[in-house]
Formats: sequence, structure tokens, C-alpha cells
Amino acid sequence: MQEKILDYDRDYDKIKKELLPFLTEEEKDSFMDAFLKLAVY
Amino acid sequence: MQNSNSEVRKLIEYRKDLVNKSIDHTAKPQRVPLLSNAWTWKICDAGMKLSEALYNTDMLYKAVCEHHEKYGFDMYIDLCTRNPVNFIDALGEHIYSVDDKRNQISFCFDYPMQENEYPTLLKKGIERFIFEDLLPRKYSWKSTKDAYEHIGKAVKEYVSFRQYTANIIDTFINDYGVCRFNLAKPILPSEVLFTSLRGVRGWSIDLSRNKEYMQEALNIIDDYYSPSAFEILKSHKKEDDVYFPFRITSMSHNVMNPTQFRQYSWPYLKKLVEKIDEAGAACLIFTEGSIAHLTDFFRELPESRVALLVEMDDPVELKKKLPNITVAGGYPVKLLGEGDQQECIDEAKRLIDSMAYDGNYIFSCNKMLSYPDDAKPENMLAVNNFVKDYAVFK
Repeated sequence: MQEKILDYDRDYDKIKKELLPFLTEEEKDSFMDAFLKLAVY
Repeated sequence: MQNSNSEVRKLIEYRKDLVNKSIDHTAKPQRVPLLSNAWTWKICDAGMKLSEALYNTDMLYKAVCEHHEKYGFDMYIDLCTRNPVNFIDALGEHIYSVDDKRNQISFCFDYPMQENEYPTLLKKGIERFIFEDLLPRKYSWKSTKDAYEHIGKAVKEYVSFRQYTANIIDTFINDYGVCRFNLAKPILPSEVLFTSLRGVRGWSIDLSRNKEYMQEALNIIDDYYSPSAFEILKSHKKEDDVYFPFRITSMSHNVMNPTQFRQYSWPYLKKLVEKIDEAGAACLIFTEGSIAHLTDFFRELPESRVALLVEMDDPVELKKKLPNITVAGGYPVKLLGEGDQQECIDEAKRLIDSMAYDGNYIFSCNKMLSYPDDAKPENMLAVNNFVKDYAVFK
């Protein structure tokens, strides 16, 4: 089976940690939420 | 054109009062409020190329400020925050195409969700489905490393875009005395599928071919998006400088018959408005296209809580059918673009006489202004000046 490009369990928290170090944990969640919405719309 | 702090506070209170009274039906406002429905038209009116301004937030900021300083609307549905092209370009190349000649932005991608993926959506939930399936497909990421690189660049652009948004809102409130239009833009689940995941054609097909999955899919999407919107209602009263907690857009109703609308869209829209009602607030619903085949539904909405910005519907007829809500808009953009000043003023007078006799009207155009020919600047200015002089309640 081909490996997924993005795996939610593997990558979601990793992206928050690696790419958003300038935000608090609470801000990271709301950022990711808004980011995902904007990216898909 | 900056105002002192006390002037700004007075303007904010004045404009909020105009908007509130035009919707809550308690008393007539001092005059009919003016809502700008100008979108990318603002950029060409400022003498800028779309291909330059969209990628440069300093130019966007200048164009939006010039729009207010020139025409002096009370409300702005858009402050050029609709097309974050740098953010999207960072996620994947060639998603947007900008045509300066036509002042047009086109989207160059296939809708990311496929017809046979409803079972996957139901199994994974919308957040995981977007993350694992739709984003890599939409942006053609080739590997995990490639995805991380694109997301990393996009995060930087997103931070910059949020900063622009915060700056322009701050300027409008603190320099111009114009409130922020809305705190949130909750998206109806049918709109998620219609506008973003499946498109007009896909959604239309799904209404017949994927009926067995539709209700559960909509509920899953709604369960993901609603809680954050409802959270805002708990604290919206602490926000002084906002017209509406929510602005809601509906487009998918145009391809639904009343039976489909009753099942797939109305319950979610009605729930949002009922929550607004419970919170003692009001909202604006922008119904693109026409709701002529669905007016009975809108009659069910709570009294004095909704402004309905209409597009192709006759606002005068709609006002008669929907006394519970404030119909907004309806001024023909075609006339702003093709008529002379007197013709434009005559039409503004006709519309105000027909719509604003009870104080329950917000003046705006019947189309989003996007293209250079959508309006002659002198016509827009003449109409706004006329409304400010004429649509006054003593």
C-alpha cells in the first residue's frame, strides 16, 4: 500500500509543533482550524 | 481622512444605530444605511492592476481605504480579504489565474472531492478527510516532504494575510468609525460541498446519485463547523464595534428544489438563525442568485433578526412576502455602469420610496461589483450622496 502523503495521526500534531512554534497551544488549534478551512475553500 | 477619538466613537454609535434599527423594527433609523457591495471593483477604481494589488497587501490596504474615503459607505461586506492569493499560491502553483484586462480572478483546479468518496468522508470525518485526501490532491503535493514545504510557506503567508485583515479592520474602526462587518462567517454544510468540495456540477449530480449518503455527510460537516460559530455567540456582546456576529452566504439553494432545500439546507440555516435569535443578535444572509422558489421557508425565520442581501430577486416583491426580515440591496448595478447620474438617482429614489417607507431597508446593489464596467465612479458617488440626503427619517 502506497504511503499517504499526509497522515492525520502522524502529521497533524507534527505540523502544529514544527511549523507554528510562534503560537501558544490554544492558538495553534484555532490556527490549524482556520488554516484548513481556508486551504480547502 | 482621520477622525478624532470622540468623532470616531460618535460615528460608530451612529452607524450601529442605523444598522440595528433597520433590522430590529423598533424605530426608524436616522437614515437608510449604505452597504458597499464592491469587491474587486475597488481595486480597479483605485487605478491598480488586479495582478499587482492582490499580491501586495499595501496596495490592497490603499485601495480599500480609498474606496471608503471616496464614497463613504456605512458598511463594507468586503475589505479585500476574500482572495488570499499569496497563501493559496504558497500551497500550490497556478491555482489562481488573474486577468487584468477583464479584472477577473479564475480558479484553476478541479473540485477535490470525487463522486465516490462520500463513504470515505463518512468514515474519516471532514477534518481528517480534508487533511489526508483533499489537500494533497488539490495542491498536487508529490511527497510528505513536499507537503511540509508548501504548508510551511503557506503558514507564513497566512500570518501575513491575518495581519492585513487585522490592520484594515482596525483602520476602519479607529480611523473611519466603521464597524467590522461580522465576527464569523459560518458556512452551511451544503455550501461546503457546493462551493468547495464538489462544485455546482458535482453537487447537482450528488443530489440524485449520492442521496443515501447526503444527510449523514451534511450532519458530519455541520458537527465540525457549528460549535466554533456558536462559541462566538457566547461572547459577541463584548464586541462593541461589530455589526453582526454572523454573515452567512447561500448559493447552493439555486440548484435545489424546495423538497431538497427543506432536507439539505434549511435545517442548518434555520438552526443558525435560531441561535442568533437566542443570543439576542442579528445576522446578514447573502442569498446569491434567487430565493423566489423558497420564500415560504424564509417566512419562518424569527422576526427582526435577519437582513437578507438579495441578488436576482425583486426586492420590492420580497419585502411584501417577508415582513419578518429586512430586505437589503436590489439597486441595479447595470444602471451604475451604463446609466447617467440622473437616471441613477431616479432609480435610487424609486427604490427607497418602495423599500424604506418603514425604515426597514439597507441600501445596496443587486450584484457584487467586480469588473471595471460594473459602475461609473461618478454614478456611485451621486447615488450615495443622494441616499444620504434623501433617505432620512426626521
